[in-house]
Amino acid sequence: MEDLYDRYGAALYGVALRIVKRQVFAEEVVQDAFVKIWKNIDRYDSDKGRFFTWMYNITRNEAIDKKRSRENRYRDKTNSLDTTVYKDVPGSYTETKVDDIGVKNLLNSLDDESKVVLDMVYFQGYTHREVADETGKPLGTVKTKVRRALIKLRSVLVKE
Amino acid sequence: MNIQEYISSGVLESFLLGQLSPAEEEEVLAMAKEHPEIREELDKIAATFEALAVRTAAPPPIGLKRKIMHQIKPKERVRGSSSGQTGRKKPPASFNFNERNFLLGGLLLALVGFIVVAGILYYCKQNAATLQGQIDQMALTQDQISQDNTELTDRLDQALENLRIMSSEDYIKVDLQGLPLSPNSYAQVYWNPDSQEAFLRTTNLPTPASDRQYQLWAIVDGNPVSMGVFDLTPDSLIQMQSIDNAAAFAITLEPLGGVESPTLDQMHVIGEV
Repeated sequence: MEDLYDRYGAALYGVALRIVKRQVFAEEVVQDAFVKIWKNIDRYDSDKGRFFTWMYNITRNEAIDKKRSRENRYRDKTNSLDTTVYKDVPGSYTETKVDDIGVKNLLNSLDDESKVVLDMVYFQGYTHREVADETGKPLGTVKTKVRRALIKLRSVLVKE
Repeated sequence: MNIQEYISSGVLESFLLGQLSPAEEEEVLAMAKEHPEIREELDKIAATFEALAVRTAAPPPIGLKRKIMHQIKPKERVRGSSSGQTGRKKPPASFNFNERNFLLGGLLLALVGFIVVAGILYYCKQNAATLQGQIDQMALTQDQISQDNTELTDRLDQALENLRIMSSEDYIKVDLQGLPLSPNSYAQVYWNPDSQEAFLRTTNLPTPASDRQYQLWAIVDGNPVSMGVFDLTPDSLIQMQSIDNAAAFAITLEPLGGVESPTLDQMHVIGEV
């Protein structure tokens, strides 16, 4: 378990941080995710894919749950003062703000539209459906855009 | 269905991102079993996900690993000891207690009794080991807490001391305003002319290059007097060398360790008493 953390902790923390945005929450997410991974390790099915993909999805789901529950709690107290703090509720995703430098550099090889779509799906944890609703593009287009963007990135990542 | 079409529809990405219903997942798995190209493509996409995540990794806070290991370890220990409990009790063998093998029966009874006692002893010992482990763990946690506590107390003391200086009437507050070189820079000196003590607050100064350091100067009788070099610590006052008769204070950016007399064109802020 310790090896697992040393190897993937930072990658999964990055995944969580990009979804929940704040270090405190990302820390909770990664902690919960690792406990879950440890408890359910015998349920990992190698037919379904790589071990990392499995851990990645657990972390991602934890992060998305955390994000949603924050948003719901936030909506319950609509009159609170810090209205401007959590702007990133779904439905308000108007422009991409890829604020992470590592991600930004990596995505620079893509055209703007692919950038937005991939960022939403891979880094922010939106579903294809949500992206389609948000951007007003057909679901099929969103899927192929994500796919093309990933293929393009694959060549960049493999080159390194 | 054409396999290439199937692959390029994006369904494999949805699958790997866990966005499909269980039925759809089954379908993808079946397809992957039937067509090696699909299996291969799935592996490629998963590898891209992994590379992407590794490439965009962010360093987690230092304490996180300890927290996680902490949550996991005690259970590992309990798990380990539960296997020891199963050998505790042997079901009493059913034997006929007649006069003929009275002696044998007695011996058997003694043996069973012995095994039970041994089992209980073993169980207690295991339990004690578990408890000891938990105690060790708690002691560790407590150490950490008291360490954190000391650190917090120190920081609180520091903050209170800063507050005392900043609100004291004995100290003159001198605002050091940015010069054209760095117009947004801003710092304050709290100076007590009687005790000659001086404290610096680096509210807003640009981070210097690694081979440079800021140096504070006092202007005494028209001449600059060094009050020492310092590193930026925006959340705390820095005590500088004591000074008498200061008419103004200024900060210049100098080579590491400071210089004898200020480099005037590197002056960032200045303020008169």
